[in-house]
Amino acid sequence: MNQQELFKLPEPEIKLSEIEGFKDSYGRQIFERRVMMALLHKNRDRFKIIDAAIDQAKAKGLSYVLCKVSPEAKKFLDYARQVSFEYNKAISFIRLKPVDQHQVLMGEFEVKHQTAELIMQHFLRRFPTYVIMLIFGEDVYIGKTGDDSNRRLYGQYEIYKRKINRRQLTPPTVVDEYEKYWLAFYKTQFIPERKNLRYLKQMIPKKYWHWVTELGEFGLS
Amino acid sequence: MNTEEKLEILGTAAKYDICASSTMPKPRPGKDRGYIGSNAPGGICHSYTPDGRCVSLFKVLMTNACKNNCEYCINRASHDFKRAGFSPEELAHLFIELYRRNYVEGLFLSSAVRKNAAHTTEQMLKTLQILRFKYHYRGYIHLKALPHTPPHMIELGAELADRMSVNLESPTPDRLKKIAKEKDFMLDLIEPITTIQKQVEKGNLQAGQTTQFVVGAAGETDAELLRTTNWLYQKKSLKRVYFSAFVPLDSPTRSGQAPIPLLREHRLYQADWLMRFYEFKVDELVLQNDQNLRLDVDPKMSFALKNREVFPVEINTASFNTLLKIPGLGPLSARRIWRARKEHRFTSLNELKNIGVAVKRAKPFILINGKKQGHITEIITAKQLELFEEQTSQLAYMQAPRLLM
Repeated sequence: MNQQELFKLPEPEIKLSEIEGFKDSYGRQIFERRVMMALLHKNRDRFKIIDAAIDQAKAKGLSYVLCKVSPEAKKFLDYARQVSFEYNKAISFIRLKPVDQHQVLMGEFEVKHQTAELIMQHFLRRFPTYVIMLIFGEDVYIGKTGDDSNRRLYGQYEIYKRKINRRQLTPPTVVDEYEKYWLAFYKTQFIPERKNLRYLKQMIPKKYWHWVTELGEFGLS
Repeated sequence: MNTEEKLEILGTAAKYDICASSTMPKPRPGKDRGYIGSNAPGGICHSYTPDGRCVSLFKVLMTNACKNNCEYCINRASHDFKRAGFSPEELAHLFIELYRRNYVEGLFLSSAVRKNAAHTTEQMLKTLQILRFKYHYRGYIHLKALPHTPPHMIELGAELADRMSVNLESPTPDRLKKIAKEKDFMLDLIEPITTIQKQVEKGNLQAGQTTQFVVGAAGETDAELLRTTNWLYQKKSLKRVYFSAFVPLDSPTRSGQAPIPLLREHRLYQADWLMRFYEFKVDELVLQNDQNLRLDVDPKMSFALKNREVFPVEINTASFNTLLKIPGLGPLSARRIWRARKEHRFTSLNELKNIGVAVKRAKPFILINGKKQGHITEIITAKQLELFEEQTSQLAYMQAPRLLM
């Protein structure tokens, strides 16, 4: 595969369902999901935090951790939340550019945590007939939905990653008329009587403004 | 007229319609693999306007040419401004291109009533058919049912859309007559709601049915709004009721009517949430003597101040329902306390803070291991409390306005 690299989510070393005391299946499912999310956090101490959370769950019960009673549990759940937040923002704010002659949808974003594969999965699920190409910093991820006979890779998706030299990328020269339509639509939705910039800043942190280019229409980018 | 101009007119005309972002528990069925779109759990906002509202759905009208003359509405026939309309193919194509670019999460399609409800609804249904069968779109669609839409069209709409809604606008027939003389409350609005309800019960419309009130346009009180809202939840199985504070549009027809404070809309939403998620009954809500919610105190705090004999409650033993009544505790923190209590006994305010309790508000109303955590005067002075007592009463329980029974 040369420069291409095949991706897989990390296999958990322990199955939480096999740990004694994890009888509460609803809580266990949530806990497993939080562990998976926390595993994708950028900080190296994530393993220590997850271990501490598992130890506390074994000693004091799942609810003790899931209800954030201790500071360790709070940190563990904060890690999971930060990863979910980034994923949510990425699937909301990534704008895709269709390259119709190749059935490709391209997009770009910046991620701090290891959420790229999750984001790819979202778009592959949404546009199964397209090749999805997303650029995250200097990494480009390319994915497509496999047909029924080709399900050996990453569930039903094939996702590859390679490095790119950003200087080699040529910016698109054609103006997309739908970008114009989007801006026209976006501007119509504002109700001046309700203007509330404090609320806006609460809903969308400034670090994401760069990706939401239409905010510039109101001098906010 | 080009697409951009149409968008400006028809987007503006639709902006006062309220809809939540898409909420869809299950993916739409479909065997083909050549589809486009999927439903995601709610809460995906593709952008925000400077008022902080989420832009999630492509919210437009099919046309803004209207035969009706509703006084609160920007599209009323007597309002002198530009009219426009999309053709079904034009609108479907425009939407699918915006969706492919990930600008929007779904479609919210409403319309003014051009010739009659059947004619306009036919155009809207054509748009949905093009999306579902030509473009194989499997994402979210919210379709607005117009007043007096024929039942067979609602049935077809329910098969194509994920959510439908009828705007009630006013809580009672009398109030509606004041602002929309052409509309009959029961025939034009409640009957379509009942037809949609049957479709929801049949398993269509996974995201259910909603409605919207224009708050203050007909001089209605919060008590009227809340009683009808409660009736709609109980009897018509509505998923949500939206409130939109009346804003006099560019040429107000009701002379001298001031805009309704946004805080009133906010308080109505708070009361609505108390009924939906906090297990409050409608007659537990506290109103001022003029039958409106207080603007200076939120409805949950009003309940706590009015029912001081219930508090303080012991956090380690109180029932789930009682926990929900404590100011500063939401359903999430109440559930966390209730679950954590099975394996742990709370000993400090810090533990509650970690859980997400707004301890400053909750302190006067709780005991931890029998110990008081604060006093009510930290929130309200004795004089203010006395005044509060004089000015408020609990909403007398009525299932619904008499005409709705």
